[in-house]
Amino acid sequence: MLSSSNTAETAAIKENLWQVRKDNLRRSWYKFTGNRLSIVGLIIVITVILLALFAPWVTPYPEHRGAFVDFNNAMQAPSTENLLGTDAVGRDILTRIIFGFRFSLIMGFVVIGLAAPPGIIAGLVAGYFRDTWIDTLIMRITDIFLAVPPLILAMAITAVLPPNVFYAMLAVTLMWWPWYARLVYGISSSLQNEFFVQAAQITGASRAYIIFKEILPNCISAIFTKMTLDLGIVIIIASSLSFVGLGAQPPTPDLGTMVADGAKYMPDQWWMTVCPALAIVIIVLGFNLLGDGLRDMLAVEEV
Amino acid sequence: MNNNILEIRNLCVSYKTYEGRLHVVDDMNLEIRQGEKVGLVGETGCGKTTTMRSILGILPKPAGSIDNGNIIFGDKDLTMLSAKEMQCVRGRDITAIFQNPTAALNPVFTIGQQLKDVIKVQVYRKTGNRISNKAAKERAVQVLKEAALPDPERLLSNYPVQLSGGMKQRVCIALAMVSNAELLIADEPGTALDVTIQDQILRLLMKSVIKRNTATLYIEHSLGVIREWMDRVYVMYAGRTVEVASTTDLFKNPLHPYTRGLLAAVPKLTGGGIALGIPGRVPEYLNPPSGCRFHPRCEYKMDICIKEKPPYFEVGKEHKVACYRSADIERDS
Amino acid sequence: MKEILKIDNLKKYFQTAQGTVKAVDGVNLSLAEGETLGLVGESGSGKSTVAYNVVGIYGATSGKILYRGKDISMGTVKRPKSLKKDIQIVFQDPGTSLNPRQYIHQILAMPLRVHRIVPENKITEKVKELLDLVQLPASFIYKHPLELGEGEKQSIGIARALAVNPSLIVLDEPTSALDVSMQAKVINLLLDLQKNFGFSYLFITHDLGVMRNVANRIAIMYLGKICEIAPASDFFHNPLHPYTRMLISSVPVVSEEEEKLRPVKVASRGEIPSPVNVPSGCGFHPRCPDVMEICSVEIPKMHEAIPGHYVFCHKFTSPNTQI
Repeated sequence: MLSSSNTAETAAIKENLWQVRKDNLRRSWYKFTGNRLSIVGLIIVITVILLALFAPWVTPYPEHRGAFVDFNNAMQAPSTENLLGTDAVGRDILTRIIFGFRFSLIMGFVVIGLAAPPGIIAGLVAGYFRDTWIDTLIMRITDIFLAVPPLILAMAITAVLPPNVFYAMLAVTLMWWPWYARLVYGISSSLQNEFFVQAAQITGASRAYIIFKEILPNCISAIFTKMTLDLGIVIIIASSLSFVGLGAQPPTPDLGTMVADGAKYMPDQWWMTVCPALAIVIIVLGFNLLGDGLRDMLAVEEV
Repeated sequence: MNNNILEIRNLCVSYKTYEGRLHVVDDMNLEIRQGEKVGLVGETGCGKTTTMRSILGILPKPAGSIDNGNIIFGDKDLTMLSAKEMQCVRGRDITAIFQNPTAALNPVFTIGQQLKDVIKVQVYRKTGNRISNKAAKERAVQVLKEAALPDPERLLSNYPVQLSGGMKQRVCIALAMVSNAELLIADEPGTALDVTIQDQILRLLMKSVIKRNTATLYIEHSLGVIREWMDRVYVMYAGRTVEVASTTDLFKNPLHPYTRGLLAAVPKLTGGGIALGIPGRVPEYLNPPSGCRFHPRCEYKMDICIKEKPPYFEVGKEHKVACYRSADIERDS
Repeated sequence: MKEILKIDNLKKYFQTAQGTVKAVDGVNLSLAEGETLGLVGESGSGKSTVAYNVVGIYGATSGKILYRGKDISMGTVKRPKSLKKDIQIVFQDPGTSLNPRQYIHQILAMPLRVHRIVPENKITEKVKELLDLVQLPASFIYKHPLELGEGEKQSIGIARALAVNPSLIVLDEPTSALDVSMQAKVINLLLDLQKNFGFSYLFITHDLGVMRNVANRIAIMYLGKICEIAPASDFFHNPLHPYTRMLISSVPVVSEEEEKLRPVKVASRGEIPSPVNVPSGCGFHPRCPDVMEICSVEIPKMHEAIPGHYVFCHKFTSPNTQI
């Protein structure tokens, strides 16, 4: 066969692959939008991310994010100048909430990004070597981490180490990876007896090939769905840590700290607590709805 | 004529999906007389399950819808009934047995509980009275005995997981026989079972329906089973019944090209190799072929087959074929 | 003809919570090169277990499996790579035998890459060749298994087995999940491939009609043991074992010729016992219409009743039988 016709043919096939991928994306979108709420979730998440990214340019009083005081304006109710009111030292709450999104999102993405890969690999390996000592070793280590109540572990770690964002993230990551291990272990071990895995083993494919090319693709949808839902939960945990003073330190704006600070002024200056609390609710709700939609979109195609 | 328990006339059913509307059942016609055993044979995707679901009123909503046609059951048109009215018909006047007995029985309740539930509901619906637990239990034992199950009293306290496939299917038959319905729909009840067990189950089922004079619609993809047990057979292809005849007639003298192709493709115990099967695939329902839906695969096709759906030609006593070439094929064979 | 596979007193037991499952309990079989040996039986017979032992999914509990004289009774993990090329399997359920998350191209390229059948840049070409061999269009390479019909999926399963150019192919109920016309296509494809390439088939099915038209010799199994082995036409024209007769007479047939062929109806009765509780003596004795006293006490011996036709039944070996 002439090499020129070979490349033309290969080029034709490549184009076909893109066509196939485009079709798949369109079909996935159709499945995702089957539930209106998923679109709401998507809109919320995109809005929050954009706000966080462009915070210095979209907020009305960007300078309020730092150490800024204006006691004349302190504890003002929501008005046209301050849509969500001001806090105890006169900073605009709306601005601080939007900057607070930054901390929450960073916390969420970094923690999940660090916790998921080791958990996934542990789960894949334990599932592949199901019922051997490797399985037992990995899953019992996972069990140990899971046995500690998450918030307590986080508080213990941050109590020993200096309280700041970095150590808070470390604490949450350490308690998060076992959940991924468990999730992936469940799928991986149940797939061991599937015919297509047997076929690969009978043909002589290497263990690495089977783990990463045969089994992992079947876990992807569960993993992504979990990641999306987890973002919401991690944000709540991060806020809880800040609430008890172990996360972001003042004057960094953070939703949890704002809720804590405003709590003492309830119920008269209700906006100081309620608004950041609602912001937490919205961001977590957004991620949850998005996760539901993702699950609808990805789930049908699995074994 | 009005000996008919069930009459399906010009039924059209479709499903709405991402790609568009799938016109699965297209102008389907079927009749079942009192006490008759009618087989509906067709391959996967021909629409027999959709037909069954339409009769029972369990089409998946909102995707599935009956676009046209009537399903006359006794003096009612089932397509016109509300969901609540349909619920009264189901179980009382029409019962069903499904393919997978494991899926049909609830794994967390004992056999006795499931039987008693059905018995109590059916008695209440038929007579308006509520019967006692003890009476329900007696009736349950009676039905299980009829289904040739050993030691029925002990069986009542067993869970489905403790029974074999054959025994579970017998329980399902017992459940179906409780209400003495007029029509029984059986969806491939023997497919999940071993051959020797399937033989026993079918014999039991046929004995029960004959005894009660229940009309049966038996949906199946195995031609051998149909030949052995049914009075009349409908052959279904791509959403339409293409041939109907008494069982002996159909197997002695199959006329529709699809029926002939199907029979030729069945591997015979006498050996001699397997015919090549019918070329092509079952059509997709998004843009089904015009005219006769079988024409892309038919070796006898003519121009008119592509343009217009063939009507039913009567070629013998009770033998109808939806094919323009039925007369020619008769000459050939 | 050379013998390619010999199974020698193979036993495979599983330990479960309910007890020991004697899935395969002393099976002796041989397969010649280019031949098709059919293994027929109902659930609990052990036929799939035999297949999985040959292919290496299970290692044998005892006994030997000899492939061209070499013992392969250990599982795939311990087998040399060259053996993995020679013996392949086509699975029963087309729905789960292909990874739903991969494209057909990937599925067929896997065996090619593992055994380096062709260099990397020729893989797509070879994949298209394989698709052509199983009469599927080349445009299938970027389809997902879920987009294909059952028959097409099964053809891909066959193509995957062919990719490494094996000598022995184990087919575990390859057409049980298919419609009649799909089944006809797949069977004819398998027979053509055998004619062209000389494969040896170990063909497992519960469908006697398929068996009759595919196998050269047929062995029937019940509760882990072989009841009867005979050449295909003998098996149907002169079935000897009571279980064989019961099975053949229970099969629904579509023509009068077949009706005449069937033995006098042996009404099937009783349930198939679970392999955890195998009845004593001959496992079939609780259901056997010709049961004798010795059947519940002693295990029968395999006996060559007619040349080439073996039966495992006291009727043919016991001195006081009346046939």
